[in-house]
Amino acid sequence: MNPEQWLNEYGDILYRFAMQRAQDSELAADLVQDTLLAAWKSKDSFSGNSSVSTWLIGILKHKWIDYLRKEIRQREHAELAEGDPTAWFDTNNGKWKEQPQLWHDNPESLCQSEQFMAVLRGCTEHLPKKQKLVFDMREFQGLDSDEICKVCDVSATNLHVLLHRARLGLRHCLDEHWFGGKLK
Amino acid sequence: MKYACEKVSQLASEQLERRLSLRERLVMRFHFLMCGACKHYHQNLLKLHEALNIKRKEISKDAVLPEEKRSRIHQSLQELSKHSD
Repeated sequence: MNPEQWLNEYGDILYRFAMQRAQDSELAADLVQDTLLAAWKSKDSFSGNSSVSTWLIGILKHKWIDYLRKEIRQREHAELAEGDPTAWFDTNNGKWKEQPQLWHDNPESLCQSEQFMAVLRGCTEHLPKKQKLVFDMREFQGLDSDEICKVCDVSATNLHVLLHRARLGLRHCLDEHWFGGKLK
Repeated sequence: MKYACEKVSQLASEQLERRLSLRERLVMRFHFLMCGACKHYHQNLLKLHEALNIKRKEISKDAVLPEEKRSRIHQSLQELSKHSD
């Protein structure tokens, strides 16, 4: 077993996974490097129960979580109480104030439209900080709920509420700026 | 009303995060029969989720580790194995 062989065999697989998370070539390559270095240092802990690539991807996932944690700590701590969901609903009967209309575009065409992606990015920028952060990790980077809970140190319940609020906000913003549900 | 749109919209979001209980799924389904708005909201969330899934895969699909980065990593691995021998 040697690390250079890992680089040859798994370098691209790791890099692709890292690109999904980081969406930045420089950062993704750093992540691959950190992963391989860490893997080499802890090579004795590789049990052989899983394939080498699964084991390496597991390390990479941890490295990414570590990275996000540091990033978040460095930034100012995002406030928790934010985005009042009652804004979207009638407080008397819990019904929508503005009824969502069906988006007719299909996912394939949505993700291929650079304009749509730009509008979506713009809408996420307007979310309260913490909502933006978790939505970004969940939907843009593809982390699962457990991973995000670790990064942000919140409970699953808390996370679900944050994502729910983020989605409510985005739906409204996208209706206004893209799908044209309500333009007045 | 306990399961008004506010609650159902939350279930629609949580379905992307965890497995809903049978009861929750039934409540949601039943509510959709009466409420087009929530049904549309649910479908929109799924579309957005799916669109970003595809996007992510596309970003990484043909990505290869660039040569200069590969050799940089190679170097650091060599140094490490030298020190640990």
